[in-house]
Amino acid sequence: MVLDSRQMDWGGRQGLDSAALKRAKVPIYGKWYFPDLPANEPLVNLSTGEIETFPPGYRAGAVLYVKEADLKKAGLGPYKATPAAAAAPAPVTAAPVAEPVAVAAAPVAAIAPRPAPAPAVVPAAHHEPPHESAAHQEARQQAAHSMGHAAPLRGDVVEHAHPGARTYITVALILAIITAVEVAVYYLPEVRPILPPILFVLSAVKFWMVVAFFMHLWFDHVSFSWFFGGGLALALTMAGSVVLMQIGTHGLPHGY
Amino acid sequence: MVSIAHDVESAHAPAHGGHDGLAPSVLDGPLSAPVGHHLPTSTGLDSRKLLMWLFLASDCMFFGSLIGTFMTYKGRSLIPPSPHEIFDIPYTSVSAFVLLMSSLTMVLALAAIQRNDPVRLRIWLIATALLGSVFIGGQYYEFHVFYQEQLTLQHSLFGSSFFTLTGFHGAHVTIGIFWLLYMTAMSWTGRLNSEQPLFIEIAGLYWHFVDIVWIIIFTAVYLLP
Repeated sequence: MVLDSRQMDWGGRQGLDSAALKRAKVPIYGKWYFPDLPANEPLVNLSTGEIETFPPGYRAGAVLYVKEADLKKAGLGPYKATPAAAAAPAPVTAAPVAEPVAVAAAPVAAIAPRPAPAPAVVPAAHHEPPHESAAHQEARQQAAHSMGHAAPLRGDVVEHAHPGARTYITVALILAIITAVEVAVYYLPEVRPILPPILFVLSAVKFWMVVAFFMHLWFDHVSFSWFFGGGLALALTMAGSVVLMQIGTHGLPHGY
Repeated sequence: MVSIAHDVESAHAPAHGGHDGLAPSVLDGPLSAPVGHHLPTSTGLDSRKLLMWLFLASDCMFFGSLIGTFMTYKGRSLIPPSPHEIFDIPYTSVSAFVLLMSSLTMVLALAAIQRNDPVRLRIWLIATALLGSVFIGGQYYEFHVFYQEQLTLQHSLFGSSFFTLTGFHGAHVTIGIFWLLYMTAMSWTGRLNSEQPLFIEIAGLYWHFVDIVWIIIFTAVYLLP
């Protein structure tokens, strides 16, 4: 599950998501996870795939990072498919500690190039470590500020990318067709004996489609499914128990 | 290539700074948390969205009890009219279709705010509210016809269970309509922008929930023989 598709563009393409990272016990650095960025350590930007390094005292915004070393250790993303590529980012790891911001040539990104160009890049003139100029600092802060802007609201957990309008319209068409079929079979005397199971199946499909696609439960964090599914299971149990108790006590109603 | 490579549009946005409830940080974007403070949650999930899902789970049980009650008494009412005498299936099918389509417009509103398209956001929100109003209007008309046919809340087991179930559902839809109109007004006054898709997503969750409840009601109450 991806915390936010816009913040894990590159990660998503690499098959990385927050669930996979958690399973592999790879700490995620971002404002919803560990907001304090580890200092002077190569971090992989899950949005762009670039390797970045930060001095002490920096905290993450909406963009998510993982330690490059953790990614390598877990054998995830580009380090899983291409073992040779795992060795490529070595120069970044060796970046001097005094370098306030890593200026790596994004070796991880090179494995899976980002399709869209970065919206803005701090000018290359900023490669003047060991000490940042005031202008450099300001530019970097501006760029860093924009990390939050590009992000959704705090904790705006949308998980994988939501489907697009075309998918929504397709789902709505299918729902409309199923509704029409429900009404049609209601009027068909031939299917009367098996009408209840047909209707249950059709309405269950409609229910699932709305929950999965319109409510995005299919794409969201699995916890939401558990919470909602728990309530639904309790509701079905309660309703079913009441009906069965009534039938057990008084038998089936007239005409059944 | 310098690593921090992101759009800089927000550099012109009003700065709020330090939204996390913690010390301001260089990486705290000016609009990263424009509505209040955020502390990282233990679940990693947004607590507001989690709360809405928990509410919907509890509402499942609420409607489960009402549907269970209706099903328990279905076919046991000795006083006419019976459901198959009074229900107008084609009419209710149109209502069900209208509510289904309102789910489509709702999700298109969410897509619009995610695309930073406030005009389409308002159009889809208003369309959703209108479709919801059509549904409620249809339900009002149906209730009116039933009352004319002597089917009232106090009339029979069928009347009591039917009006309680569909009435509570109608109340949920009505609340949803007001919620959507409030969201539209917020968007118009600039208090709802592309940074806040979660507000629309949560309202959408509620709206889709009333839709799935109607999917069950339409089958269990109207179509099931």
